[in-house]
Formats: sequence, C-alpha cells, structure tokens
Amino acid sequence: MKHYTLTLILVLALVPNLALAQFDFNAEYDEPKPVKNTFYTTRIVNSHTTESLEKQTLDFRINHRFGEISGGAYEFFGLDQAMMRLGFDYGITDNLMVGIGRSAFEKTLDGFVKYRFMTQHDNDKKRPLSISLASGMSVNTLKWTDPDRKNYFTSRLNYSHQLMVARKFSEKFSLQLMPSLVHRNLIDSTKYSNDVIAMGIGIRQKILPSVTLNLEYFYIAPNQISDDFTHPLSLGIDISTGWHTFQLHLTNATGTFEKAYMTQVSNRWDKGQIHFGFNISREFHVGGY
Amino acid sequence: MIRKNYQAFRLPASWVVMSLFMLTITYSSCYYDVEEELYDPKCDSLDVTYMGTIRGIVFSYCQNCHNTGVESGGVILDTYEGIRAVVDDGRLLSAVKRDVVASPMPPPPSTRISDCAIEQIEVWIRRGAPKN
Repeated sequence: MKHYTLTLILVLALVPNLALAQFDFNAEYDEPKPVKNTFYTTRIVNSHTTESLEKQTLDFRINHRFGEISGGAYEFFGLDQAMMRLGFDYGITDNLMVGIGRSAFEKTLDGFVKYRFMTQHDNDKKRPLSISLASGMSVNTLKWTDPDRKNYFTSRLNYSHQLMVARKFSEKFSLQLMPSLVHRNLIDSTKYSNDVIAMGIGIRQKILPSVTLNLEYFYIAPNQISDDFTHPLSLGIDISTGWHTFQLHLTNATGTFEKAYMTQVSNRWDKGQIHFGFNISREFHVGGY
Repeated sequence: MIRKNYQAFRLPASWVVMSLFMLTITYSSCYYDVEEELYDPKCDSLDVTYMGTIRGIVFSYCQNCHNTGVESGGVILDTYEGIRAVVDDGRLLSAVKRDVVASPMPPPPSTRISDCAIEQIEVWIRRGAPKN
C-alpha cells in the first residue's frame, strides 16, 4: 500500500512537469503564426478594420441605422425611421477584398478595394501590426436639385482612402488607428475643403467568449466641413456566431460609407441625438474547397 | 514550397492591377468644384411661382417620403392641395427652416435645403401661396 501511495505521489508530482516540459519543447519550435480575430468582422461599426475576408468568401452585409432614440415612444425610439445599406463584399485572396453597396443615404452606390499589406504574427518582431489600405468611391444618385443648371456627373462622385493600422495586444484587447482622406468633387462653399482629413481610432474589448465591446471615433481636422456637422462616435457590441456576426451599436452617424459617416454627421451625442443601429454580416464560401 | 512561391508572386500582381484601376478612376475624375464658384450664386426670389419653382423644390426634397403612396407623418406633397395644407398650418416653412417648431425636414442626416430654396418658399408663402 505504501508502495502504491508513493507511486501515486510521484506520478501526480511529475505529470504537471511533463506537461510543462512538453509545452517548453513546443515553444522552442514555435513558428510565427498569424494573429486571427483582431476584430470579428471587416468593420468596427462603420469603418473598415484590418480584417480581410478569406479567399472566395462572399459577405452579405446589411447595415441599419434607425431614427433618433430621443424620438421617444411616439417614434418607437427611432425604429419608425431607418437608413440602410445593402452590400456584398468578396475576398479575392486572403488579403485582397472588394465590395459594393447601395445606401439609402443620398441614394448612394459605393465600392471599395482593400488590401492587407501586413498581418500581425505571434512571435515575430518584424510583424507586430496588421496594416491595410482601403480605397473607395461613391456615387450619389439623387435627382439634381436644380435640373436647369449645367450639372456634371463628376459632381456626384466622392472618394476615400483609409489606412488601418491595428494591433491585437491580447486575446481581449485590440486597437486600431485609421488616418483617412475623403475627397468630395463638389462642395457648397469655399469656406470648406474638397479634401477632408480625419484620424480615426477603433477599440475592441472582448467581454464574453463571443461578444466584444467596440468603440469607433473620428477626429475631423477643423475648417474642412460645415459647422452643421460633427465628429462621428459609435459604441457597439459584436456578437459572433461563426458565419454570422451581429453588430449592435449606438451612434450619431447614420450614413455607413466613408463620405457620409465622416463628413455628414449632423447629430450630436451631447444633444441626445443618438441612433440605434445594427450590422448583420453573413459569410458564404463560394469557391471550391 | 513551389505553391508558396507562386502565391507570393500572385498577390502583389493582383494588388498592382487593382491599384492601377483605382488610381485611374480616382485621378481621371477628381475635381475640386465649389458650387459658389461653379454656379451663379444669385438667388432668384422675384420670379417665384408654384409651377416653376415651388413644385420643383418640394418634389426634389420631400416627395420621396411624402406622396400618395408613402404618407410619412400623414403628409402628402405631390399635389398642390397637400402642399397648401402644410403651408397653412405653418409646418412647411418651420420644417425646412428647422426652427424646432415642426420636425426638421428633410430629416437629419440630410442637410437643410439651400438658403435660396428657403427664401423662394418664404416669398411664395408671403404672396399667399398661389397656384400659379
């Protein structure tokens, strides 16, 4: 009996060491691995993330922004009105994706190309960050407000270029910076600027195994847009269920493409002009396995 | 290993093609136009008529949400009678001027209609909102 007890103690004492030794053994041969899920989807709320769709993946996206919550019960807290965007994104390679969409906001068609230059890798000091560039274009298809004057098709066009630099600091926390440029072909007044420079920040904090808390904010450099407009700030949660991701948020921006959410945000958080909104993303693998 | 090399070659190639495509589109149609400079900034607030001015303004800004098919807020603006009803109760001017009495229209995030259009609506209402 004494013999068995001794053996048992020895085994119990050794198992963790063996396990540890096993772990150390592997660690020595750990190759750098790409960091996954810096963000759950390719958008934080409105802005792109460094995430890219996998090759031959089609992502059907529905974005909804409701009316102001302050409308109260009469407006069903904003749900009586809605601004939406329907979009299709597609992964050409694991790092290159394209997308198109149609928004109710100014009846706009938009498209973009996004390329990930660098993917953050574990155990690789040369690749500490994920970096992507997204370039997009949008076409406003509203009827001309003054059809009698000489209107130019180019006046409908707007462009955006956005660099995303992100790091997943831990399993729970990711941070992204988004220096951005939006170009508008036609503006109202010389007081403003056709080119709008903005700096965005996005934060993701995991709060449950498949739920994250997200924040997105853009600082718009002064004297570029009308005083009627302000900086977009959005707070939200992502709920991931595999191929689906649900994003629920509170935001003061109702447009969901770059020109709209950076240069045309007329609502202010400090005045209670907050909108509830959601993005639904459904991914389909459309190529062969 | 061969496959890896092949992919390493392919990725930049596709990126270059897409970048060239984007750059071509961007710079071939990139303008720095300003409405104030591009168009005559003078506002014609003398020759204001329902058929020639007001109907066009209301149709382009309001009719999408306020017509006989979609009666948002019970307001129909595709007929003179419908427009006249919101002129008479003061809601049209209040909404477009965003003076907080009526709901601001077109609703945010759309911006206020142009100052010229507001001025033309005011002039027309001051003249009794005739169907001319």
